[in-house]
Amino acid sequence: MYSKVYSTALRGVSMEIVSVETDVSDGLPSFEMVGLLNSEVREAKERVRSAIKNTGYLLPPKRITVSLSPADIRKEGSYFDLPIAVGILGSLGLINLKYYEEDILIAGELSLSGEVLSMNGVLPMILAAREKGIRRFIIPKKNAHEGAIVDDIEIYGVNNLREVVDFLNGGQIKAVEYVDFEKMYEEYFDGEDRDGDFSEINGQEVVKRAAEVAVAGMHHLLLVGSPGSGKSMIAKRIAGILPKPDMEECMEITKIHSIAGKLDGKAVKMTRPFRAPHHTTTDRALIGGGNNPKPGEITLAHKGVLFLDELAEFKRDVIDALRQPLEDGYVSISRVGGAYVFPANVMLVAATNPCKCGYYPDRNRCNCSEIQVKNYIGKISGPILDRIDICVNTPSVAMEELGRKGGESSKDIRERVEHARKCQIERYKNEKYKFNSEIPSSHMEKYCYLGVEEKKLMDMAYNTFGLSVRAYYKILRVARTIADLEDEEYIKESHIAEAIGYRTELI
Amino acid sequence: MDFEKDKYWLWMTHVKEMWTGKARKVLNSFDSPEELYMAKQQELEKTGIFTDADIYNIMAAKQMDMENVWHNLSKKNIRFTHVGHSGYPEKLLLYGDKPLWLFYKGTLPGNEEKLAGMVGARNCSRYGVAMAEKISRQLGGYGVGVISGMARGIDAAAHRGALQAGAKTYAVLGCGVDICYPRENIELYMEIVAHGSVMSEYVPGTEPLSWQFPERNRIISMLSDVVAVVEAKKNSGSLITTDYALQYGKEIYALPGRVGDELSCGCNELIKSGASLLTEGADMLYAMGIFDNLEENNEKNNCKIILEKENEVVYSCLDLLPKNIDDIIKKTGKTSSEVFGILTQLMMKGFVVEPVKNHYARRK
Repeated sequence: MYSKVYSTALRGVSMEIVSVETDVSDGLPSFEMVGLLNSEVREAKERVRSAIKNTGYLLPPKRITVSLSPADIRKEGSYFDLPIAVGILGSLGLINLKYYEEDILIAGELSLSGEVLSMNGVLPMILAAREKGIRRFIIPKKNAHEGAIVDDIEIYGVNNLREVVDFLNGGQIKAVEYVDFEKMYEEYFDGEDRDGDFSEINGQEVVKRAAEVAVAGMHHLLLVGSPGSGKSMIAKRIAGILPKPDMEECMEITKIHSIAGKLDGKAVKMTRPFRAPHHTTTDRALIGGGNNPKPGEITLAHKGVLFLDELAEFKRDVIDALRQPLEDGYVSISRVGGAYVFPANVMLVAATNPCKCGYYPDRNRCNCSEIQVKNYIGKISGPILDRIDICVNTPSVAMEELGRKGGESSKDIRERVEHARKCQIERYKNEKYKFNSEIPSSHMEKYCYLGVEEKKLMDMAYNTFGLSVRAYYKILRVARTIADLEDEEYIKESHIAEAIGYRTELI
Repeated sequence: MDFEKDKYWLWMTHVKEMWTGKARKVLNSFDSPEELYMAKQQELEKTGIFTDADIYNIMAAKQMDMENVWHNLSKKNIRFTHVGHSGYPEKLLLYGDKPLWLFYKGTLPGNEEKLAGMVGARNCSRYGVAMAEKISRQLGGYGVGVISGMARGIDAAAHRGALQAGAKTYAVLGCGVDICYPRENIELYMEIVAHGSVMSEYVPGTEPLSWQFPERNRIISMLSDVVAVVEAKKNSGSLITTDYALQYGKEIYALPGRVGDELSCGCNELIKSGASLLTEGADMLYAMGIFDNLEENNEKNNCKIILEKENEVVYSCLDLLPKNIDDIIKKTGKTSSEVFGILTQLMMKGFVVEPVKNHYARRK
């Protein structure tokens, strides 16, 4: 007998509907599966066989054929176990599938005892299926709430194969309750699950200010300083002063985290991600890749902060691979099966020691020669430094600072940032870009207009500091952001002077 | 220089492993390099001062085409002088362990020329660089040349200061004079050749090996009338120079530093054991026998910078050691954008430098 159920296959960061067809017929006993399967899907055979047996059914010695179509998509992941089991039981006449055929999607991994184990990627799966007209879902109970924010559907969370059989044969399971995302978003409690607050940082006024400017204009930031001067501490708190994500952004962040299995039991992720890959990471882990491409750290940091600690220690090709995504805001990976596009809109925060030992220019602790210092900094890829607009030194905190109460909270800073962002959205409403950091050089005159005095200052700076044209424009973009933070329509001398202090010139 | 007259000396320098110590012994047994050249193998063996390898090296060196060697030297503008030669610096003749020959590019110091040696740490602070440059510039102003070793850090700064004052400066190298070590000092090397000389007792082409550097320090000490140490750690190589200087009876000056600063340890230690304290170039003049025109040359007078009050506040809390922007903000009590503004102005006017990211220091 023939039966058919629906499930999904992961493709990049989106899901595609896959139908699982099963046929049980007379002939030599066998269990065959076809449809371009990865090894974990092929192994489903053993799990399904045991799970069915341990749920109390007997697999008769017949010829069982399972086909997953469309046959030209590579099927990956372990969540085909449950649909295959259901299909077989349907073909054997143990479940009446007629009623459900077109309208239900089943996914989940089985243990040998028949338990349904958790899976990744529930939200994008449900969104993709709903577009195709599927309204009902049977998924592992542990992940069932991840789809709760999608309206007009029914989600049934199940614990084991027995529950699925009973349900499909007319039993009752309580569907997951719908959560109104809009309402939830309104009620969103500020500051939840943050990695600390800016008020915990003592001193470091210039660094805090630089972080605020960087966030306000979406400028990438580089922190240079000795070990223990608080580079990581500040970087961790930067996600907290980025503007609150809007609903669309929350959905994007949640989808990616759902696929990566990093939702930690929440229905929606409403905080901006902070990712800090170790400096031994590979370019594939950072950018994404693999035979069947998977998102990398930069995609997991989408709409949040990608923190690269010890920038000089990263392999050069790894860092250079960041160039295209930082420019375009997405990663594009081409494979024979097609091109995969992963979103990768991040704020890059990098940190580095000034030299190998980390204490330059403190000559009591650092014995690196000038050449060694230059070589260490020279290891940082030039093209990446070009993309970093703001560079600032984190001083070691003086003893008397330690006891003192910290400054402003992240919330205060975020309010100013949000204001500056609003200025930019208003100004660039007719442009393709949204932030000061993206102003192309051709629009400099239009958006970074300089008065006579300001022009004079910039000309002088250009000559004394030996700036490149690129560095010149970077200073103007940063000055524009500082002006926005101060609610000034035109860039003033003081804004330029501050921007010059942040210029990316390391030693 | 005359090939016919000097060729045996030149030949002797080119004998493999004929270092100064050995050469001195050889010249005790032979009257001149020419005699050594003419000596037969048996005669060499008879002296008893040579090992088999030495004899082999000497015999092998006789195969060399000295005319070619001579030609190559003059092509590179390298000159040669030796004990007994008219161009050999008389100052050196006083000492027992004088170099027997010198290769040089440029012109050697005259016999009456006043020279101050200046040595110090390679990995030095900005303060050290600035002071070395300043002191040697002041010395240059009084017509005193500066001699040092062209190493990174203090040495290079000392040469640079003298060059800025338009004075003579000499570098004694620990490698062949045709090799610029360290390589990044190539511009300085050219300048020194143009305004003094680089010299070495090693044959051109000799690689810089670590044991050669203490030896060249002795030549620096011999040629100097006084020796100044700017920044030295406890067991610094600069202290080798002062040891030699003591041996030769030269006055030693040391730039003091804070107690506890590693780079000042060696200097403070020197002062404690009797070296003179050095704060400006004029300190060293008496020891060199210069007593006149101290006043008009004093650089201090035209050093006063007149600034607007706002800028003065920031400038006054800077010194030669780079200070972090945060400290400056705290000290002045101004906002960060004000301080950035003032510092940018001061940098553009050339009063302030930013040697390390967000660390600011006075230029001089």
